[in-house]
Amino acid sequence: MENYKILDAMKESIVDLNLDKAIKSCKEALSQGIAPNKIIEDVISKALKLVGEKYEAKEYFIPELIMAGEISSQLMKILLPRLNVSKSSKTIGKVIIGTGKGDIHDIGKNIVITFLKAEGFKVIDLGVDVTSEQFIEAIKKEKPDILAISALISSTLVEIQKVLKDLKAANLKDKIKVIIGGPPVTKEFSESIGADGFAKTAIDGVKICKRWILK
Amino acid sequence: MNARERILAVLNHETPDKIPFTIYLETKYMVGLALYKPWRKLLDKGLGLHGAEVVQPYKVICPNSKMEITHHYGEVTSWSPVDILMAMNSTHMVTGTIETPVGKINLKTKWQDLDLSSMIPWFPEDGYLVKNSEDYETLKYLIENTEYQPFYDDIKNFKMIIGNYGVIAAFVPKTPFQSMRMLMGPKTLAIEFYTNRKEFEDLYKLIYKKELEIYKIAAESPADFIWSPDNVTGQVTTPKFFEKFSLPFYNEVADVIHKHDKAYVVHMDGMLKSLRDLIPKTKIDAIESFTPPPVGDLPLKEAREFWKDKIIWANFPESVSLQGQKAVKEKTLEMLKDSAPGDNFLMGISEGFPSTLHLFASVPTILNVINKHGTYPIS
Repeated sequence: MENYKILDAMKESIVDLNLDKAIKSCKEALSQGIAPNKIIEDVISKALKLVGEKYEAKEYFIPELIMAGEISSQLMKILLPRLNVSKSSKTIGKVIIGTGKGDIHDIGKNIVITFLKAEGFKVIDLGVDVTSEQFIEAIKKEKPDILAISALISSTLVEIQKVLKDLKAANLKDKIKVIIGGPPVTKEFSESIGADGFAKTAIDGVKICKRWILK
Repeated sequence: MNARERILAVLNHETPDKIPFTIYLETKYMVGLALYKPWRKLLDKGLGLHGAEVVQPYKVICPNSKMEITHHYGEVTSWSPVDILMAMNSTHMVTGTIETPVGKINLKTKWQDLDLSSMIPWFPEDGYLVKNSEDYETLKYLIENTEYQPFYDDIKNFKMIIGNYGVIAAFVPKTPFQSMRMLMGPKTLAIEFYTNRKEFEDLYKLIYKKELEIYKIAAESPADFIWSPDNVTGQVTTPKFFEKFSLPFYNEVADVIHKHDKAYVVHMDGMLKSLRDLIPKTKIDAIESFTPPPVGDLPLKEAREFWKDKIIWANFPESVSLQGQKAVKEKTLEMLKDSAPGDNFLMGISEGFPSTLHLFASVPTILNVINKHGTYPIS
């Protein structure tokens, strides 16, 4: 019973964006002998889902998603060295992600990564300003289920168009799902370049990826 | 009416002969107007120029501090002056150090080209001046020790050059909270707000106090209006932040600006749906770069309904240009219809297009539609 109390307190502190309290609860949970895997699955992942729900309810916005991501990242630094790799969670799918060429704005991409990981995806982050060639090379090497490209500026759209064209030319398009996202991305643009999906927000993007994998 | 009269009429809540349509006074547009045949007559057909990021109404002096900026050209380094010139105009990294008696802060950005009229630089996550709370002391020293002196010559000169083709704004810093976003980036801003609240708010108060000095100088300038390059988006400047940090400053400086019979125009180019009910509480006169769907999230019609006393200077949603000129024409018609009868309304291009070609094709299309269907009052 005590165990549940500390886990509930930890979950609440993540949702309330209280870093100090979350770290304190995490250390206390470990000292009580609770397995790191259980903390990740029952607390961090569930807390991030609640944060995502608050975002959808317009109660939270990007700063709150960033802060929840930061707390999770700090907690993982404590938990990872104690994690038994053989008992670690299975991944539900693999995603390659990056911002398109010319775009250095990575805040949306980083939020997507946090929430994809919370849903059980393995994520390969190619970073910012990623060329079409770099995306193609990574896809050949990593064989992901999904390619996710993010853009904040509209000139990146032309570069995303090139990635889709190059994917088709390399006969890779039919082997993966492609999702594009960010403020300048529209449904019309997404359809016109042959992307499988588009999202205006990070949370929407994660939902689409999960839907594809669980189908 | 000429373009200047038309824009100023709307900014004074008077009715124009037709909906004004503007582009920024930037090099790429000037090249288009000078050389590109389909553009050459656009100024005579009513296209207006908005001198937004052109002239600061003040000079900055920060004694005892120095800023050094280095441009990194990597492997394109060359012995040839011609190659060096070309490299200077290519994409490259820029790093800088600002040194004060109390410490140093560093910056890093990627520079697309050396066109001085291009946008305020954006920084990668590790490029912002404030990386963590340890940088506050240096930054606070810089802010506290900076002196601002009125300087109006450039405004007068540009007003003379631009003539009846447009208007010149006083280019001032982003308002305090938006300045903090640019100093820290969205990630550090969020973390600092949630983990280091007192220091965060102290820095905000200091920037607030110092920026009042600048806005007073701007209000007294001969500029046509005051333009804050705020890039507000409700996703980052959340309702909570807007109410706590943005609203008080907007209202205090709006009172100062209005005393000098000028309009206060703020660049709000992001998602504004979450701020829909807060924006009417500001004393801002015009929401510039308001971007309707499919890029923004607040329909123009809804904004007009909720912001009855505000002027909307709408940005044409740039992604539409990827669907071709028929779509651009239809979107322009839709925006005119949504703004009917057209009072308190201007249109402009105030965001980057997917490419220069998309931009060059779209501006004449939009202007032609406005000239045909944008006569006030729009039925």
